[in-house]
Amino acid sequence: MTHPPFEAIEVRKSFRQGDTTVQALRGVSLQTKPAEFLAIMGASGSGKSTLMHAMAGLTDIDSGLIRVGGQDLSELSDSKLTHFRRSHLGVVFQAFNLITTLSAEDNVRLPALGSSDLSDKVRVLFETLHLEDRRSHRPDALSGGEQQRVAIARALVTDPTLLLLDEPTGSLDSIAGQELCEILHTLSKQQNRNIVIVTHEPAVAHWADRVVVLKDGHLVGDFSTEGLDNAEILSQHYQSILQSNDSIAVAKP
Amino acid sequence: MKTICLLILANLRAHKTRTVLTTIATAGSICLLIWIISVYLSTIRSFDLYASRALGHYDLIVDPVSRKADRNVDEEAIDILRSSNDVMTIDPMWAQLLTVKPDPSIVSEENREGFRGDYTPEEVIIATDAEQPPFPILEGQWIYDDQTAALEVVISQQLSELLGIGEGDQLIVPGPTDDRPILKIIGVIEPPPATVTGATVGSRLLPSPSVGGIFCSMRDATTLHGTDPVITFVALVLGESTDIHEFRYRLMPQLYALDNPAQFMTDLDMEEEMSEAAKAGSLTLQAYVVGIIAVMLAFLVIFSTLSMGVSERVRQFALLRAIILTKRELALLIAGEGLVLVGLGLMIGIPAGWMLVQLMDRATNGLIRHGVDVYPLGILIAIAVSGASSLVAGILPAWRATRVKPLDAVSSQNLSLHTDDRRVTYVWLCIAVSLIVILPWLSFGDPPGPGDSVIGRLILGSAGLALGLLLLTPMIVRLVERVLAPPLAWLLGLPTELLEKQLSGQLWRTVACAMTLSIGMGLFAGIHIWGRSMVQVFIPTSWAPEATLVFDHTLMTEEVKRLEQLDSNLDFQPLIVEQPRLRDDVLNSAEFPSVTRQMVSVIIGIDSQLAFGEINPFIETEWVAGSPNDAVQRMTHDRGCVVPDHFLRQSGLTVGDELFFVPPESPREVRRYTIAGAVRIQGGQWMTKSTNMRQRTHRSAGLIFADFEHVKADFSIPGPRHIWVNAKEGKINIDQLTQQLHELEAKTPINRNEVRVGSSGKSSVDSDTDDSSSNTRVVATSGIGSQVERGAAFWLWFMSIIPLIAMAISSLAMLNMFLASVRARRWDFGILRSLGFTRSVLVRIVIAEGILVGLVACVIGCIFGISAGWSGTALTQATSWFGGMTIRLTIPVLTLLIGCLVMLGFAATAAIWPALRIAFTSPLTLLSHGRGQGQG
Repeated sequence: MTHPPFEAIEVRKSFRQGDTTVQALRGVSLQTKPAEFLAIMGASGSGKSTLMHAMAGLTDIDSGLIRVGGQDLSELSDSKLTHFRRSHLGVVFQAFNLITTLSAEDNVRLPALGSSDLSDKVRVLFETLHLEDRRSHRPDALSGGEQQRVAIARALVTDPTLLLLDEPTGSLDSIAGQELCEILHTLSKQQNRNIVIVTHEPAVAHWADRVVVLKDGHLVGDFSTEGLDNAEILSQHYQSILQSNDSIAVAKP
Repeated sequence: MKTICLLILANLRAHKTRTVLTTIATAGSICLLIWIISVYLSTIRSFDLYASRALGHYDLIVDPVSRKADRNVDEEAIDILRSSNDVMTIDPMWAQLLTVKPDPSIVSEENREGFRGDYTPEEVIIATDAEQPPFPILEGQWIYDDQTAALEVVISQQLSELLGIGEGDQLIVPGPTDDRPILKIIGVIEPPPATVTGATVGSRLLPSPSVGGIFCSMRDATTLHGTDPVITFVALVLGESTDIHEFRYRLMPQLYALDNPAQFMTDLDMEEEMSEAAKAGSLTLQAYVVGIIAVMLAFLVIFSTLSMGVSERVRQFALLRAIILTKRELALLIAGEGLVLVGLGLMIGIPAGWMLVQLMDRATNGLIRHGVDVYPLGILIAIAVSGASSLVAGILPAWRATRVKPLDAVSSQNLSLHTDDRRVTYVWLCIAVSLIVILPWLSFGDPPGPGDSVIGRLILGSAGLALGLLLLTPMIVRLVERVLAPPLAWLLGLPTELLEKQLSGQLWRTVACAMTLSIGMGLFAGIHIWGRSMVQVFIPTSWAPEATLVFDHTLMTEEVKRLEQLDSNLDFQPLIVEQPRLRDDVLNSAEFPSVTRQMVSVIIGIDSQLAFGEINPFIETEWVAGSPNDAVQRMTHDRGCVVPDHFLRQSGLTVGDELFFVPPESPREVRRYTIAGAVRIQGGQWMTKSTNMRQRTHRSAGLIFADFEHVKADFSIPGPRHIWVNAKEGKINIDQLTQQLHELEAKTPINRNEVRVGSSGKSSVDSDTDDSSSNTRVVATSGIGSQVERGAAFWLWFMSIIPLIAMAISSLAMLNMFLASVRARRWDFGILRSLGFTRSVLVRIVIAEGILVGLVACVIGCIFGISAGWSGTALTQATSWFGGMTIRLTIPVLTLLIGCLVMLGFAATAAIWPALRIAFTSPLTLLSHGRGQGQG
């Protein structure tokens, strides 16, 4: 039996903020298909980043279930979860998060050091991500877009089951953001990568196969980008989903 | 593991300056560690060598108590030894001085190159019929009585090397006639090195085969000297199962009770005679202390570097946790960084330590008898200890690193593990004080018993003290900042606001920095407070006379009267001095001998009324038992004696108890004295040493005063050889007194025949003195004090090299921390520059911070030094050779001020580079780099 790359069932997560409890996720269920490029959208505070962190095993959930490639993350100890993350998950953050003391190539090699066929793989990744001439550069000598591409290469070097990107274009200018989205699209279509991207930008989400919309911890929308000719249309659709759910949000205690 | 190695190396590469500084500082600590281990091992080896070789294969020496020129060990003593089943071998030895020169006519060819025919050394020739040589034979054979007329000798290696001669060569005894004795060399032996052989104590040779330069048979010696053999000393080999200490104390009373009493000498006694045992005894303690300091330095240097690394890399660690590393691997990363730093430190520190040891060996030639060398054991200890300290130093940083959550990688906050400003609470204060008082309590409250090990107490107490001070430091930081920052700001022309929160704003970095710096200052203060307090008891105080006249002959009554008329302003007190043995071991010296626990004391006969009478007494001191009037009555009429306070305390005796003295020259006539009182006498040890009052042995439990006439009669001493002098008004002019004395001697020649009376025609103490010239001395008591202080000051400043090195090493750690500190505050400095503050202001701010941190370190160091130094005196008192006396805390304020100034100098210097670095960075660069803080 083949497991879906990612599966979330009735996931709930709350935080304490001072004296109040914030319900970040209120029973979110979600599943991705193989080779699917999924975008999670939502306004600030909608819970999209929390969902992303839960998917990456970076934060515990209060209840529910999260499976990556069929592995229930809650069954793993901290150490096993780290090992699992290292080999099955590729995570890219908004703030690049490269190790400043390592070169671009060493940053990419980092999760897979010890693997025998790493050199070819790294070379291919650098070619794919148009970074061939940046291999020996330190992060502070790279542009924002280049840094983010190095971060993606690092996330891909272990051939993860799932590539998770948290607002990857948030720190980039529009051209660099566009280039990054093209790369992700290519990775999805040509290499059949399972990609989940968290974004609040319709222009980025437009590159995905499917978009789910979170609002106040609820999954309020789930639609295919097929037929949405451009980001503007996607944006209107996204806005309409949010507005149509305002009543729900308001009605909720 | 590969990932961890890559990250470690990348981090070290990225922070080259920090790595280099940490490596230098760690190397310095390791260098210090190797140095102290080497010196310790070399010195211990030196003592071990001496212990195992001074007496050769013998266990004990029997030496006559008498100091007469013709002193010898009687056959009676040898009979006592023979009757003991514990004695395996008895070898009587006859030591004489003999001048020799090499015979140039028969020097063998192979030795001719180094031959020194012009030398005529005076050597000790030891005659013995011992079957075995006392030391290993290097060439040839040991002497044996071949029944021929030829005089055959074995010479020492030192004499062989000095004259360039060896087996087969000959020595000539120079003389006016042609028939000069010729000594045929049949072998060469290897006694302890030259600095030991021939060592003398005062005017006499050590009773040990090690002093022999030439050995021959008794028969040959008889021929050579033309007299019958005299047994100078007897060497003994005891059974393997015999307890030397027990044997010694069992037979000692029998030997001492002989008409010609004898005493045992061990190798340790001889070392003590050379005043080196005390050094050896305290060396272990010093080695432990310095070793601990060196390890603490390495620990703090690495700790501060690792801590800085963790504080700066919170986001990086979060990222690593998010994508690759487990908590354990992250901890390994930190531990690995520490080990790599230590590894680098060892790579430099070991060769540097070796070089330092070689330099020291050359610079202090003779200080350590057999030279110093770096031993493999020393290197192994340095590797093991520094490695372990790096691992321990990594514990807290590693723990802090593992507290970083993977989610922190995506935080938009400027991350820091020190965002909370913990305030010192009363609870903290109580805990700190409780920890600090552990050492004083272990030293004074529950002092160790005689012979107890102090190392455990020292480690526990010092650890408590260090931890307590660590807890107290935040409070000290705030105090220094509040009290001293405003005047410092004023002095440096800075707005006070700029210094108000500079230390507490980065509290834990300041604490770490100040603690690291304070190690050197603490050790410096501790050494000087300990040393000065200890040495005070050896400096004569107001009880002592201003001067002592020391004569080389016994004075008759007329001479004393003439002296008394010398100067009407001077008050003379003639003394009868003897060094008798106490019949009973009232001070328990058999179990725990010390400078005040001995079976021998110096008894001083003095006019009781004049010395202790209530009206204007010559000896003005504090009475701790008895009263002056009563004591004088008892001294005059009932053979009363006045003892020192430490004697009374250690013996447990009280006024009215009896003491029995064994006169050295008539041991069967034991003399009874009653304790009439006890007085506080400080500095008596050096008084007796410098004025030659201790002639029979170096040992003395203290000064015991009795009536002049009683001592004179009881110990068969014809007259005084010492006179104490005080000025009635003003102070004595020592030069003038010396001149007056010599003028008097010139005017009235001493009738030596008149004074030389005694059982053998000579007084007991005159007979070994030189008849030909007067050797009267005036010994100023203030001079004794100055001499003691000068000697102590030399050693204390010599020992201060280590704290000064520690200060230098810790200032490197401070430089490291300051570089990181200014780097972390580039944004703040950028703002200041953009607001119009000049480079000069920035430089002054950073240097002022350095001075403030230095001031904090001075305060911590002084607290540590006072506590550790004072407690050290108590521990030393309780357990070491120097125990038994009443020590008062002495704080050498001027010395501490010098230490503080040096410390501040190091601190200010360490701040200069960071200050200039930040000052010469453009405001825009500061702002742009500062904005990137916390981004991994």
